[in-house]
Amino acid sequence: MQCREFSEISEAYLSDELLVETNIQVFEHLESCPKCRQQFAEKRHLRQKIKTTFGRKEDFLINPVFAGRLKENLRQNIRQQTTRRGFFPTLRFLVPAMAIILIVFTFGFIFLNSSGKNNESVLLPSGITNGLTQISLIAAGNHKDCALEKLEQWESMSNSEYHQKAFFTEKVVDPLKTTFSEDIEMLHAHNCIYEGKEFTHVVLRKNGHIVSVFIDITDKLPVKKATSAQITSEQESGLQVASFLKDSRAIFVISDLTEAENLSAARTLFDSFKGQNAI
Amino acid sequence: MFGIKWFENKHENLSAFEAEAMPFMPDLYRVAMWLTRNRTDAEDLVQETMMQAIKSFHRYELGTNCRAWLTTIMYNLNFKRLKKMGQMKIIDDPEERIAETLAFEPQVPQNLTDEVVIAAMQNVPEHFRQVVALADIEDFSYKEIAAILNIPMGTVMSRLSRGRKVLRMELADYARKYGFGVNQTAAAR
Repeated sequence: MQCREFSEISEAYLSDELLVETNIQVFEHLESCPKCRQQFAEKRHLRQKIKTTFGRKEDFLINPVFAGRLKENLRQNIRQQTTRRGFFPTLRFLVPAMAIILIVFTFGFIFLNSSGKNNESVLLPSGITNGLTQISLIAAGNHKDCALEKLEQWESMSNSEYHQKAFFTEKVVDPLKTTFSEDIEMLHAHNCIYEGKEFTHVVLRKNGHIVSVFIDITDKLPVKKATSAQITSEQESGLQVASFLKDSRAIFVISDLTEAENLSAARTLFDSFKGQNAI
Repeated sequence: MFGIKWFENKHENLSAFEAEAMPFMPDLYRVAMWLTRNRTDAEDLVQETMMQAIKSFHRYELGTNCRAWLTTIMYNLNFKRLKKMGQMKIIDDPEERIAETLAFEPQVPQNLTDEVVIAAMQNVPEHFRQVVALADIEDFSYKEIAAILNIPMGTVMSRLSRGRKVLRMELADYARKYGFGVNQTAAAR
């Protein structure tokens, strides 16, 4: 290697950027050339001097207070990012899980709803069911007290004209006639109060059996629309009591018919009242 | 599952940030001082760099040179900062212009004080000073400097060579002015 060649690559040699083979050639040249050795020693000395000078210059040293504060901020930032990033992957699993739960719930609801229609089982929330049962007792008592005890009075009034007769003929009598394919007679429709509860009471006769339709007009039950599409059936004092809700109003069908017939009557009235805006 | 594995990797990476990146804050501050020449601005630049590094840490490959990666982020942020402040200076062919003044290589004085070195370094034009500082003070390789400054490696080599020559000339001037450390015979060569 000549001095000129060494001069061209001396900067790269100083920065340790040469290949091993070239380093060996440079080393051999420096061994044999005092002038290049001298020049290179000066360059290396200057490089070292710059490094140590700026390495210890106070202006170039980071303020420990600033460094500590920044480290703490960074750690906090890392914690936040970890928490935030931890949350989103959880969502990846939560969303499908929630979707599955929703599907199961929806199908379960539909299944139970349809089975309720077939078997007329009680599907209302327990609080409302309890409320209906209590009113059922009162309604059953009223059926005996009003419909059965005053039967002769209602029979005598069956041909008379009164307020809302046409309405109940259309909404109660005609649909029941269609369902049972036999003559249904409305004896009377009126409002009556029994044990502090006021009902709209429709007294009917079906094939010799007295049937009462009660609409509770005292209270509205706190029920959501979704749960109002259920019909319940129970026995009270030897009477069949079927009940359902329309606009949070409890409606009862009470008779000494068979359970199936009584439920069939209730279902007919449920459908009939469905299109009715308000009772 | 993919989601869990992804989360674990991110979590580990962020923990690695503390071990890999945070120890280089003093080095970053030194570079920031070269870039801003102002303590407050340098601290802002270091903070901005570290915050940006956390956000982008998923792009960093563990085991590679984290200090070079952080310095690259710092230079990019500084470029944006200067652009925003309207302080970007475009120098036409500085290598060519300065190369003409480097006809010979002056001898380097031996007994230099820190003040002389600092003053001489400040007189080296910005483009050369950056490369000299990254190579001789921060010990970055040519390749790393090329990546940090986003310039070809050949440009790094020429700027470094010329920057060192300019620095030696500055130091020789100081030596002549104040009459220390230079062999007069050698200097007259």
